[in-house]
Amino acid sequence: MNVADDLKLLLADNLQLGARAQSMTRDSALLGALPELDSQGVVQLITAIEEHFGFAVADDEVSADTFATFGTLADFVASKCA
Amino acid sequence: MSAPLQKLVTAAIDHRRVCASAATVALAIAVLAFARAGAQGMDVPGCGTLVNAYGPYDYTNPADVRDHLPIVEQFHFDRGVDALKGHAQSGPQSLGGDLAYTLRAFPNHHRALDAMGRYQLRSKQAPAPGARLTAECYFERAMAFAPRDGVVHMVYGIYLARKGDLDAALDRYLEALQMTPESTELHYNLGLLYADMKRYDDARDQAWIAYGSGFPLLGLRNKLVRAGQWRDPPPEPAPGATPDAGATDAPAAEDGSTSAPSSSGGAESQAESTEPEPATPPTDAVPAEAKPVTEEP
Repeated sequence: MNVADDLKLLLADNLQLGARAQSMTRDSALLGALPELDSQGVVQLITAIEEHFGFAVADDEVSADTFATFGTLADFVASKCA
Repeated sequence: MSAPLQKLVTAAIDHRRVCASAATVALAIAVLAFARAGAQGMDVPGCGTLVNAYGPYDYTNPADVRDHLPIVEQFHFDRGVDALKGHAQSGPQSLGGDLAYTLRAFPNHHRALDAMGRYQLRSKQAPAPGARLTAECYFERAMAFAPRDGVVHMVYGIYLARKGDLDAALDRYLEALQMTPESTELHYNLGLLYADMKRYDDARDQAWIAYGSGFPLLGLRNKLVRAGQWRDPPPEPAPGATPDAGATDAPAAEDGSTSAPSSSGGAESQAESTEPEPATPPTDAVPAEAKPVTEEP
């Protein structure tokens, strides 16, 4: 499983980002940069990540800056999958 | 169904559960029939009627949720539908129909409204395939059915903002603010919208309220930082300190921030002159908002 590739697919599917998701790098900003990441968008993405990767995201993990960039989110997912 | 009728129906059902005499059952049936007759008059201009073979039921009514939501969600709104992939049994070809069914049974189903909006944006068709009506229609129907449900207005605002109709989104958010002024999620989304509109003072006011109440997502703060518009909120005055002429207490500051948007021309100067203190978090605010969700039943 390649976390980064899977994450790009989830972002593309759930936030309707299309090709923009594929061009993301570790430094690509998420929260505060993607208009699609309003509160409902974040809920949608968290639910999709939980289902796809098979773990639960705790409340305090949402409050951390997990969603700052594509890299921080990928690291978070990888750590949960480890 | 009007709000008074809704209360009558709810009271009748609750009463029936406590005292299931023949008389109370008859009364409940009579009230339900009266309510259904009232619903028959509830045509939503250009968007059909709210009358439905099953329902319509209120997503914010605990009795409706308990008695009718599970079966609707089981067959028409599972995780696959919410994710716009299609129901586990009926598949992606029934996505529009499943969303439409859910919103006919529960016109103000918050997640289904959001999903319908996303589905239409994704499909680039209005109505989206199988949906019968446009997403805008489903929102209009929800507002007609549950006019005091502030979350409907917020979710409509989110849809409009995603669509790029920022002025219309602001109208919905401000309407929602009248109904749910304590919703930190609403303040957060309103702040995002103000930032998109480059009304940074208003955006910052909303950020301070949201974060002062424990809202966890840092997107609004990040957005303001990137625009060079973030400032920390002013420190709260020490207990017992005499407020100076420019100081405001928390309730007054919140009032100022929520009324500022209505006078767009003066919003910036007002925001500068009455910088709000962060709102005092309600005791249950952090757990309820820690994982941001709308008011699920």
